[in-house]
Amino acid sequence: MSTARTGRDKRTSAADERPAGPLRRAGLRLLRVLGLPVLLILGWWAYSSASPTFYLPTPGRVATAFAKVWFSARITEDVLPSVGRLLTGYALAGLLGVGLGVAIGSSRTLRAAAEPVLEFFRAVPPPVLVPLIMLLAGLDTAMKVLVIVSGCVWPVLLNTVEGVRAVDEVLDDTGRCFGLHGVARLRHLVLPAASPQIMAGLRQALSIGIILMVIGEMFASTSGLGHTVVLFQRGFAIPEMWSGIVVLGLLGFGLSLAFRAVERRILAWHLARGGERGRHA
Amino acid sequence: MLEITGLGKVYEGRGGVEALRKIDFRVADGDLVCVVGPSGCGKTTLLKCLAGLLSPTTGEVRVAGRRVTGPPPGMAVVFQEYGRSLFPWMTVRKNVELPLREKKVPAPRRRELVEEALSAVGLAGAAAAHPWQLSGGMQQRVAIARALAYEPRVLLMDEPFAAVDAQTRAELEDLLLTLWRRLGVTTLLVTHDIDEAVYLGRRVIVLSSAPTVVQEDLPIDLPAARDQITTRSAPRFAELRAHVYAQIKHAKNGVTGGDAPVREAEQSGP
Repeated sequence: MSTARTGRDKRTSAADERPAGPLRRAGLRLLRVLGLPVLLILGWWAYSSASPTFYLPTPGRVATAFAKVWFSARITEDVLPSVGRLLTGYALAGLLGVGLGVAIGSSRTLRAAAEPVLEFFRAVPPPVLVPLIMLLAGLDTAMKVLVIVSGCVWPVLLNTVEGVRAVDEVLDDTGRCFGLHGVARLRHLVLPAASPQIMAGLRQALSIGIILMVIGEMFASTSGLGHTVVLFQRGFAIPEMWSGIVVLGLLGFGLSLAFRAVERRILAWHLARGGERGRHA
Repeated sequence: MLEITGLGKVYEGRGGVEALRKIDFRVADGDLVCVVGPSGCGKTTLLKCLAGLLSPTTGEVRVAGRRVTGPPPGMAVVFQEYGRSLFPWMTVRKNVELPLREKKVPAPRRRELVEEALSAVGLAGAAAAHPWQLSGGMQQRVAIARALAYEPRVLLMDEPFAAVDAQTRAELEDLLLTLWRRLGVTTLLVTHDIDEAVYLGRRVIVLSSAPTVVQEDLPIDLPAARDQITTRSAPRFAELRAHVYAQIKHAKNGVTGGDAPVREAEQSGP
């Protein structure tokens, strides 16, 4: 009884839950999603047209530059190779991180030996590895992929270790009693149990990956998004440079949406139970 | 079927805690034995040794004549913490089916066993649900169904009904008795609940407090058909219950139970 009443109180106190038609609700939703971006763009427009400067072009000029620059061969020459390297590096880091993480998380001795070293490598800011990797691996695609792997692998690895270590003891005993071992144990018990943590690591790794993709290309490259942005900046092609930043923002946004869709599928059991997305270790 | 000989377990580490000193008993094929003891007497340690999850420090456990060194095939375990012993990422059906896959049971037979086990525990309609969508009692039913579908020769249960409410507990107790009678699987149930031990068991084994030995091995001479109302209100039930209660009280006080009360109880039996 009392819970029902408090429930209703809460509802009436929330202003935007008034009864509304489906059309109106969809409209409100759209307003909520697009409201702030539209407002920001309008603000930018107002500011840049009121006090025109060379370095801050109006959104209109950036949009024109965007269409001119990016709806062209640059898609195949710069955008796709960048994205390809990012996804390759990310996938390699994911495999490496989960693989090593499962091994280290499953063995107490291995963990004791490896953990301080891992914490050290995780603490090293990944961009400083770029000059080093350039020296070791040269300037080609392999270098750029390696840069991405070197930064992305740590959150995945450390979170996997944490997730594997925290596999419920009772669940593990149950598995052992029913003859679950080896690959089957990994597939049906360890990986699913650790998946909230693993996904948390992968989510962190994704944003690190995008940063490193750009940095790797800024240092020494003849193609790619990071290279293009620097190129425009050096040539004082300011609206074009801005449009490159917009492309990177959109890319990050798109990848994050895709990640969330995948996560929602994989962790459906976890999220439906009210489990929060695993925090990083 | 189940032979425990001179079983002792000392936990390594600071000082070394002696959980079990020397446990000896046997469980005959098809019997239903309840183990009770004061809290902290190492009931769970005993069960883990029987299940092959812990290796004993001294003595041995044999299942069907074979010495247990790891989880023996043909043994199923139901844990108290149903919420932690079911796989939350699998549906009820998959939970019951997984051990059968590992046992390499062919798919059609697997389906049959899963259906049978789920309807035996009254959960035929919940096969597609996830465990966390069910109540505690239903989750424990799933765990029981999983154990049954496995077609074990020995069923171990570690305080299986301790975490559910009283009414559900009574239901599950009767469900267990029905299934046991139907399948005749050798069952050993660990509990801290004296009433439950006497109500369910054909035999009750009373453990002493740690370091633990078998304080008493008591046959329960109640009629085979048990009923929550009539059995529990029978004078003999009260006697047996009082007797076990006294034994546990002795055990708590560190007195290794005198034989006198046993004889008393036996003499006053029907």
